[in-house]
Amino acid sequence: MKVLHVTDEDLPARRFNGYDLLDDLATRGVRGKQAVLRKSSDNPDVVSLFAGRGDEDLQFRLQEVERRHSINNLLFPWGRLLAETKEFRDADVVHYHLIHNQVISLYDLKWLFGLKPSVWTFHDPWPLTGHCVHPMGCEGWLTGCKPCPFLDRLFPLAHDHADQMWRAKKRLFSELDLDVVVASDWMLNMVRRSPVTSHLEYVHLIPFGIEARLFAPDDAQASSRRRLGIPENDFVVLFRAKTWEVKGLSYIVEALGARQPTRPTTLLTLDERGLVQGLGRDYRIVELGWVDDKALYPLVFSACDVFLMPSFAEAFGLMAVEAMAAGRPVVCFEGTALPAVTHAPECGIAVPAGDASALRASLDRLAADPSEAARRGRLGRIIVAEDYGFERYLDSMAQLYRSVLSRHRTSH
Amino acid sequence: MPDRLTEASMLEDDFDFSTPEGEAAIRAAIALVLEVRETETGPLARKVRLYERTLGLAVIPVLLRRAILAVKRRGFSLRRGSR
Repeated sequence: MKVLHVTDEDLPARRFNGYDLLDDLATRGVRGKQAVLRKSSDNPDVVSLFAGRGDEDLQFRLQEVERRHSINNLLFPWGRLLAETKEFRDADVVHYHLIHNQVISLYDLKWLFGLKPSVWTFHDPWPLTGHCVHPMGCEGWLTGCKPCPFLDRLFPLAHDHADQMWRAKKRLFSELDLDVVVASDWMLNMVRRSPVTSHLEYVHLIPFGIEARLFAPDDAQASSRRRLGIPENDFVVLFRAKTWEVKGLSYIVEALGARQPTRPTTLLTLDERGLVQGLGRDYRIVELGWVDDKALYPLVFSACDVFLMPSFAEAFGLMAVEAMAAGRPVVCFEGTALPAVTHAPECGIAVPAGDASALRASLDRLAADPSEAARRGRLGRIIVAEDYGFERYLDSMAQLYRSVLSRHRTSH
Repeated sequence: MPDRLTEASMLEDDFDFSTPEGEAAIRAAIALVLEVRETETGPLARKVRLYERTLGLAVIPVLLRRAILAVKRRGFSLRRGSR
């Protein structure tokens, strides 16, 4: 069986955009290819839809036009070029991932889904909303997004056409034949409640799986720290530094800024650099940027003592599961998929959303009581083995593709 | 040409992209965008260059408006014909 994964880029989200499945599913008889706008790997199984610099310019212009007209993911022509590729023609099943990152026009989806049996993973609630990726407490998505009080949220609209976009999605989804994948009960619940998607018959809850063996055991902490240039005896706080408000960085900065560290502490960050320099007086800061290296990445979690993930919205939270696999406690905000994914309060620690002082208190407690951190870490590993095993994930995906293909052959 | 563009620019605020008409306009605009992308020296490319030289406008908004106008006119004539 041949499966084509479609998304915006190959490497940056490789753990959940299908890239890592290209090889991993081969053991289940599924041969994978990936089609992306921009290819940054040298993997021959990945094809780029952008033919060159001219297409980058065209993409930029289309983004400008969409902004001017306050529309969202309608004008992009790459879906039509996708259908012309050999990889698409050869595929038995096409699996769509982050296509709302300006890859495919919504109005081309029905046509594309009609050409091949299709699976679409909802990595976030965007398919259910008027324009935003995460409603974050707003319930407009339940009634038509009119008016939209948060036009500046990703993907921003200059004028309030959110209700138009919502209606466009509702009309589109009423005509679609596809299988949807969600990774958490939280996301499944939204799909079931949404007037846009509640009628969908084939919605599959398949939590992501991770290769837990890659996330080093406790005794690797010292070597991981040496590799990353972190003093062996520091208390190490890991988090993702990202300006996008959804990720809650400002609350981490507030919590850390209000602390008086009682022992030398290193702040270890992933993703964007230069966002926490203001904390440099009290903390050592190690910024790693975005880490694609599959061997280096697990060391980051192994090196830390606690992982902070105070997102205001997460449809799953793969990084939290990775921290659990490394045996590290996770602190998150309530109101997202994370409390359930991390099995709070037994394993993860969930504090009220936006409460920086509660975040700080949790951090202080874990810093002062390594035994609590160790207990939660041990439990995390057990949960990962039971709920987020990689083999189970691969089995579920292979089974899904086969059932989609089988149903399509029966009904067409 | 300026009159048509003026007329087209007035559509921006009241055009509903969520309707079947809106979908048709978008699909037509995408086809035009691909045509521009693939036509380096043909008549369409010359028109595009003319738009850009004489009006100083980015070409894609012009194409989108053109597609919207075409769909609206088609819809209008169809409605008239059915009465």
